[in-house]
Amino acid sequence: MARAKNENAVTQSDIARELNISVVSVSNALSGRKGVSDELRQRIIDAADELGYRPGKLQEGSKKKVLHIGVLISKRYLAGTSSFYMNIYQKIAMLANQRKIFTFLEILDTEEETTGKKPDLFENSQIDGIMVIGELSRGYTKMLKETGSVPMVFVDYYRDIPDTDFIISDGYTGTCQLTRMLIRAGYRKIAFVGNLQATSSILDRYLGYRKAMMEKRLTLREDWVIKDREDLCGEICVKLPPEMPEAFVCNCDRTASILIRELKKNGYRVPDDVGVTGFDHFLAEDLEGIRLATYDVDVSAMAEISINTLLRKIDKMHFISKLRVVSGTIVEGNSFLWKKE
Amino acid sequence: MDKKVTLEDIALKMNTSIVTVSNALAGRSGVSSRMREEILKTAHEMGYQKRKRRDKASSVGGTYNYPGKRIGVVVSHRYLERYTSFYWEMYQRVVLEASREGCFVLLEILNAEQEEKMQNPLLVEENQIDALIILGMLETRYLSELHKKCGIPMLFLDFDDQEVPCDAVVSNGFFGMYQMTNYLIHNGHRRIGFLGEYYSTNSIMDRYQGYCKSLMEHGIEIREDWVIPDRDLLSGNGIEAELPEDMPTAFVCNCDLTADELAERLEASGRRVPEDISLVSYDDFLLKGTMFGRLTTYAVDMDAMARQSIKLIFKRFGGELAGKTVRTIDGKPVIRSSVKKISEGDREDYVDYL
Repeated sequence: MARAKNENAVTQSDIARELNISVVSVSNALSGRKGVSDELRQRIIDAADELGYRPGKLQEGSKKKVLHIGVLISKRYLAGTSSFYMNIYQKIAMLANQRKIFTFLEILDTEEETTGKKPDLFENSQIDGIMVIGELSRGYTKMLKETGSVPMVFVDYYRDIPDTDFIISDGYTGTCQLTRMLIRAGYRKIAFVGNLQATSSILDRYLGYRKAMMEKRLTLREDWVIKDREDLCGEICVKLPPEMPEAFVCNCDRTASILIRELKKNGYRVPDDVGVTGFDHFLAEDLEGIRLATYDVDVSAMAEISINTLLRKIDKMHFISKLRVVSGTIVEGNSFLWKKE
Repeated sequence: MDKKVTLEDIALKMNTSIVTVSNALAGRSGVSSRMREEILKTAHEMGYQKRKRRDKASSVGGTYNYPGKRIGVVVSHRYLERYTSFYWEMYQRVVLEASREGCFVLLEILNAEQEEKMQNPLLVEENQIDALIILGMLETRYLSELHKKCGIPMLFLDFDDQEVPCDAVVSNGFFGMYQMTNYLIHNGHRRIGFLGEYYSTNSIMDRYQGYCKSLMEHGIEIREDWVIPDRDLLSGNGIEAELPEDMPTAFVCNCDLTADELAERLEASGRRVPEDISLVSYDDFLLKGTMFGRLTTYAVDMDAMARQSIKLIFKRFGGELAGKTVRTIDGKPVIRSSVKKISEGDREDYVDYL
């Protein structure tokens, strides 16, 4: 995957040689023509992927037309100073730039989303493909997919809509791993912080927490599922529960940082009195000496996969539309204590 | 070896044509599987090495990176009793993928005594293999001991144990069951039970959480009396699920076999699928039974799982992987005739989250 940009471009005959098959088969497979078994086609696509093959008009330095990609983000994710989604957008814009692809950014109003109004990007005839970043309602997503005339991929969320390309981080597994780590460290009374109704990724993270708790038969208490905002667009704020748990699993790093502030205000020390974990590894800096235990979402990998998927769709390469789950890694930090080994 | 062994050498020795040898080694069709096996064996014995490809291509775990490597597949006798067909089939796919790469696969069925007494598989004891695939879950204790002692790349297929730092290839139980449960809801069902013992395996737990995700997203309460165990926790043997008095209109079954057993009981007592009760399940690997050809289920992509397993092992051989790597392979819903549409289902409005 990681090949220098100006190295000789990978050709179809490289793929053919790699798999010991004819160039015609490779060409048929990649352009979606008949004459190749589904199984072989998949192997060819996999090999093309791994070799970093990019079809004709997308090759570096090719003289063909410049590509334009539209990026759509809902306004409600851009509240506050720095947003996780802006971070993903920056990564994508930078990658696109390196490949001489221009990106248009459109911020979607909450109102447009509720009324089902089409984004302006749809009116722009220059656009070759659209990337939607951050969760939109199922209905709106479906409308985009069905009425859009250009290829589309959806980043950082997932909806149950067939034959659609979603690229997400592994919130379910990640949060499960974090919670398991707390349990291994000796914590038993563990709460979850996040609005389950807010987004599908928060629900996934909650279910990962729930799985880890259930498999050790630990009690799931309703009063220990704690909201982190009053309504969808509101500022993050966390109220401590009347009966305190030993640790909090938070749905994201920002929420964790606000919780830690709230804990301090109420005289609790982290990690001595209470353990805290986050998710997404978005906080670059320490919180007054606390390095948050979190799940490092590989934003660069997500950006790269998103853009590659969209480019292949634009080039009408045959491939199977599906959910792509990008795994991350656990960051242990020092926001909880190993009470027992 | 002074002189490189060529395809011609192998052809001469086997008294066959160079084309046949080439086809066999490249995994192309046109060679019988027995012939292919013999050619692979001879090639290995003669020390045949494929020509190095150009560097450009060397990053791919494609054909012939590790010819002649021996891959052991270990499966517990337990699974071959209850899930005979599924695991044999998975094993066959592994053999196919491996032979494409010029590798051999050796099978060992682990018996109860070996598991209880924590004895290593013979393949490991006798140094017969270069890599080990564990097909189907075993106890953590057994796996972590084996992992410490075996000293070769080890991979879990169709399950994962996060306490053991081995690579794993699993199907997507969480999203799979989420989709299957959604399908029921889109067909108007809201009284939906789950059939499966989620304490028994990590995969059943994932499928159960996927079921919960769908219900929660649609604001449907999870009723504990509708979550029903289908097997004994200790032995893993199937038990007759205790059906509730107040029956749901549909069941999400953790696997095809469980769905089939339930359907058989329901139909024996005069209830029909899907007219009286709808079923969805997981695997898409039912070869016989009352639900054969009728079950709406989530199809696990066995080919992709086998392919990924071999790929990951090769990456381990090449030292390309750092920590534990888990690959989740998506499958797809297969809609047949075990679900009845009882109403238009949920309204798909633009504000389902607002």
